[in-house]
Amino acid sequence: MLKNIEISNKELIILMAGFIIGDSIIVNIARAVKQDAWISIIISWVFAYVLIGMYVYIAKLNPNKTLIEILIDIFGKYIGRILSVLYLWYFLHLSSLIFRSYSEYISIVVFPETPRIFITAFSSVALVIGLKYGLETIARTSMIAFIIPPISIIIILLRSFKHMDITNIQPVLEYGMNPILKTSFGLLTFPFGEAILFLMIFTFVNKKEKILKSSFISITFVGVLLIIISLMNIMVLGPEMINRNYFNLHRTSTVVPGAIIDPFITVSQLVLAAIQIWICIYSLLIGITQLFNLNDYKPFVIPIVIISVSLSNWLYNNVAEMFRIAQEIYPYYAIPFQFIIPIIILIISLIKQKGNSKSTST
Amino acid sequence: MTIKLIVLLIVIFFIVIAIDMPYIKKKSSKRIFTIYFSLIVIGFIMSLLQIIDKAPESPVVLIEKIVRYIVY
Repeated sequence: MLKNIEISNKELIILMAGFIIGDSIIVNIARAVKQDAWISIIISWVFAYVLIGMYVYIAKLNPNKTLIEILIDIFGKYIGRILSVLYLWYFLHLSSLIFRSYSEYISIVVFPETPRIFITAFSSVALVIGLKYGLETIARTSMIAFIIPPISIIIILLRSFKHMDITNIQPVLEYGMNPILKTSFGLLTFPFGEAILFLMIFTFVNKKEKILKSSFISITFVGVLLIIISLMNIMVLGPEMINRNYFNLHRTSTVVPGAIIDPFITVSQLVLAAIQIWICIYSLLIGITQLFNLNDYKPFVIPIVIISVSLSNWLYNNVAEMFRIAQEIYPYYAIPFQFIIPIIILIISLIKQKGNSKSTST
Repeated sequence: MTIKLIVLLIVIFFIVIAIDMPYIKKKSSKRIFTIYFSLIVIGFIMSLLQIIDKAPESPVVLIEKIVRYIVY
């Protein structure tokens, strides 16, 4: 059943862009460096090409294999399976984090009197339907829905133009390079490094020779959008307000008089969160079927979504803790999943490839 | 209120099982059956513990302890 799934390169671009942008437009972990946030984003954006290029190269060295299959192939049956379980936990944890950040935003900004669990539970119904229909449906839906976030950003940008004060980005490098580099590392792990999940998706792309080009197009689009959003927030709100507010883009949209444009942010966040959660849970489901040698993931869709929703409620006590963990802990927690294990996979894959080419030449 | 939530939770899980059961029976695979019900039980226990306010420490607390031990 898994062998009949196919998505186009255009769909990959949209899925990857939507996934990487995701909730980073509302969860701004660069706010600690205030007016220099845009510099952090540029630095992490440049390194993102290297990081995601590495993931694509791993996929190229291990053609038609998902991350789980690569782990078992490279590390052997036992260690491979242990690492696979760790990655499946990471995919589940990531989906719960997205559920939580999205529902915190909606419950604080849009429906303050609605219990957060109901927001998560009701939105998960649409997500279950998408997962039951499969990756191709998810990709096609994303192609249509993804038009909303960039248009919303453009509308907010145009409306808030008069309220921008370019002096708000000064003084540049007020706190030196160290905080900027530290924040850049955090931005590299969230959101760019989360593209490791696409090692579960690349195998379904129909033109595999164009995966690198498609990934770079996505990263370029995401980088430009994040820089625009960051500069817009800084110039409209100012550095102190950036640091004090949790949801800067929403705050920027409310500052503009005479127009109610914050619903655009909410709808954009809905679309992006859906794409992110779909990719996370789809990767988790594919991983489970491959780990247990099954041929169908659909029976597990609803139980996995329930576990993800339940975990999202369990994770943090409040939104302040969520932001604190995202800033202080998550970058280091993600290092093994996004850097260490992929680098080991890359080295072993290169050695194997050299070995294979030597044996074919003799 | 807690009892109402527990009843609601049980009803939701029965509905979920009712939706999925025809598809699982069609598959007639013991492995799928076992994994499915294991996930259902895990989901049910996690949700129930949160409703009755007896949920253990969040896994994030453990992750934070490990990261702080290694990094800081």
